[in-house]
Amino acid sequence: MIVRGLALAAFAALYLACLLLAPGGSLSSLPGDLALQAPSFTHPLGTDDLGRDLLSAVFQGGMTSLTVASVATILALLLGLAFGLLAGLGSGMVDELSMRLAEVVASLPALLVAVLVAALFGGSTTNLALVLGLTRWPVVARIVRGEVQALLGREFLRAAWALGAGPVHVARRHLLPHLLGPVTAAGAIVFGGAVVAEASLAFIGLGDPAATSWGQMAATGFALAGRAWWVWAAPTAALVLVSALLALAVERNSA
Amino acid sequence: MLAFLLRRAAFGLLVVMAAASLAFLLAWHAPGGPAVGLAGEHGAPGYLEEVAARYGLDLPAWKVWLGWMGRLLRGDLGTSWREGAPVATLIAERLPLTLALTIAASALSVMLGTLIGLAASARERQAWPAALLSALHAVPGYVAAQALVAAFALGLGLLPVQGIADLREPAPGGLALLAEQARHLVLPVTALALHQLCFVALLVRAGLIDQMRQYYVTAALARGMSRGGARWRHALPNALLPLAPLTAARLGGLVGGALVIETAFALPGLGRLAVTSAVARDHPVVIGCVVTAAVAAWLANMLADGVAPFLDPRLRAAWR
Repeated sequence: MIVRGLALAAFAALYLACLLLAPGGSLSSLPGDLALQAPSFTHPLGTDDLGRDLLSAVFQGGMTSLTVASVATILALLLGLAFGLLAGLGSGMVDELSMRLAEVVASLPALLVAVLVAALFGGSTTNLALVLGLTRWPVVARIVRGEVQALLGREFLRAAWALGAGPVHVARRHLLPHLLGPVTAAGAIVFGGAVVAEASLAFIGLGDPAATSWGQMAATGFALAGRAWWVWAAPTAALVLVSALLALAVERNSA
Repeated sequence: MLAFLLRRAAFGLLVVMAAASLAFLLAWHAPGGPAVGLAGEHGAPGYLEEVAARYGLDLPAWKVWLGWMGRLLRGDLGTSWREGAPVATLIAERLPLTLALTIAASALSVMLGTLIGLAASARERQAWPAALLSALHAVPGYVAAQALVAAFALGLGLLPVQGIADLREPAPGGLALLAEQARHLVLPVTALALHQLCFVALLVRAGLIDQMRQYYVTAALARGMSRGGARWRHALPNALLPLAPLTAARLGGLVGGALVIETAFALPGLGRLAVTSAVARDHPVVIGCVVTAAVAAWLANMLADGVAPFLDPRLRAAWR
């Protein structure tokens, strides 16, 4: 419980730092002799090949990466909740149809689809967030459906039905509060996966060339890693940290 | 049993067609239209329309879609626009490498992951093994690849940085060639396996901890069996049951992971083919790659469904 709380708090702090401390606009370059400076007190994470402060760049990149992941996660949660509730509360036919749809979407090679969209339509952050959200909702839908079916037999729900409550009222008033925990956990998994997927696409070379993101920084930084390891290490560490913190926050086995 | 497998097979076919249709839809609506990949972007006025008409791409989308799906169902993947060669040939050239990569990574992760899960479950009360495995599970494949290359190829110089053969030396023949290729695959397979390995280890650990609390284990302990013996002999077979279907279900993800790893190590596999064809707008090849990935995932799931009753006698009883 302590590990999970700490991990969640650390993730929230990192997210806030990116939102508040990202310089916005283009990063200012420093005079040429300040390029590829090792980490120091003035530049805690060093500078990159254009003499830009890497700490600001990491916050700026985090803005992009975390925004993409947030939009994708919200989309996946909304779709997952809608289909999960529909399947859990609907008749046998509705249940069967929505879960089959979820299975088809879950079986698609998701990263390949993302590559296709990025290659054909351009790897803009909007496209990326849309693709990641639209391919990852079945995980959420399956969890929601399972929870709803487990809740349906409980007495407070039978009482609500008996008092004449409609499905919308039941879903909003009685089911959603119970679903908050599992849905948050599913959201964390989707979020971590989206951060990694964005970085992987940038690594393949299909990311948004105009936006500074962790994946794009790490991809360009690896070429320089022989001379200046920090250019690669700073964005990579941020990326792995977010992904690992989210994994720890929802890990069930660690105390 | 047979009806169940038939239903699964039919559903798999549906998934493959859905994947192909999605790829078709994306290709059709790509900016510039579907024929740009053939005609290029800077042709004379009217050239694009002429090329579209010659290849039957000026018809309504649903007619072209029906034609492509019909050929697909007959096993014809079409011809590459860029290479002029049949798509099936191009894929057949690239598939063995990707198969070797994914199968080796799967095998490695199942075997090593089981052992690590066994070791981690012995420290049941400690949180750090699970936390460490969760954290490692979160490391993206390409980061693992970069770290491995930096350490073992650039740092220690033990293994090659990339590629499948050393072009500076004449290609050896026979067994030496196989050994050379295996040496080139060590780092890619490790990088690809890491994620899946942690997943298997976490799954086995959780399963073992759960099984060790069951009455049959208590009974075995009461008969004087050691904890380690009971874990290995009684708990492990039961804890491993969910592994087959889950490994198969994640094979689709492994194909996506292979795409990243092939890029990282410049390996000429299916994933590389998909990326380069998508960038070049060689739509038949892209659709062929998507179909191949979907078929591979389908076959893996079928295999897992098929072997499940042999692994778990309870399923055999249920189907009889």
